Amino acid sequence: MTTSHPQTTTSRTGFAEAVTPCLPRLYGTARRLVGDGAEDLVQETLLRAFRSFDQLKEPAAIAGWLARILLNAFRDRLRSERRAPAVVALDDVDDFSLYRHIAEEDPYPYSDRLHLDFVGVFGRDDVRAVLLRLPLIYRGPLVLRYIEDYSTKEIARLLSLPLGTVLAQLHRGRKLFERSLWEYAESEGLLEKEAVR
Amino acid sequence: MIDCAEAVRQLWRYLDETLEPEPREKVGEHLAFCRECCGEVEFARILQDFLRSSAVADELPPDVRARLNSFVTGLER
Repeated sequence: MTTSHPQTTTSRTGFAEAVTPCLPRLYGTARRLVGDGAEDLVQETLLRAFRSFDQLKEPAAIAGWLARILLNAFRDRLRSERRAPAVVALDDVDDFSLYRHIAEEDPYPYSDRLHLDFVGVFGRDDVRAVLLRLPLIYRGPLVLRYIEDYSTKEIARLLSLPLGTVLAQLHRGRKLFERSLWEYAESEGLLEKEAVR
Repeated sequence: MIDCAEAVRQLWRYLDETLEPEPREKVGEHLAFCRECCGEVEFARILQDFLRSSAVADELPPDVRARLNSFVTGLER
């Protein structure tokens, strides 16, 4: 028998009141993971959360509970992505080094802080745009590790993947990110001398 | 001793401390004498901070807030 207690969630009553304070955080994480699809991902999360709201025994833990549900929903999207992977050139990406590439291409010949100058031409919107160019299966682990600050073991657990798979995806994601930074800088004209701030 | 290509492949994992002790030690040995790869490590650190600082804030635009509130209210009906 279920007993009612003011501090214990035993039904779906009060769902809106409980989740509303968590929406900014939930939406922020969703945006970092999927960009424009964030609202859909949050709605899916809320629907799943509503259906299992009576399983939340500790109302104070709702933020973490919702985050896990969101990552479960995200994991399901990753599975779809794996079935129909985005087309992206992976040739030689594992050995790509942005550090060396910048030195070889020398986009700012008069600079004595070449690498810092390169990074300095990117605004926050540019970095987000670069991240969103990466296929979901590489972007996801990258965002979870370096922005959401999950450990690699936590990512493996949350995405139901072997640790080795997560490490491999992170490696490729980092290299794709480095290469995409260069390609984006080229295509957006950030390498022109006058673009250096 | 590993070469630069091998060291570069492992640098982010080296920074993440997710390498096993043996390859970690090999990368460390390589960094002890290779100035170029030390520059790589420093740059990889900068890129990690750069990624972190690019994160969008946890803000809910008013129109999204309105739609999500309406969605949640609809669930309770």
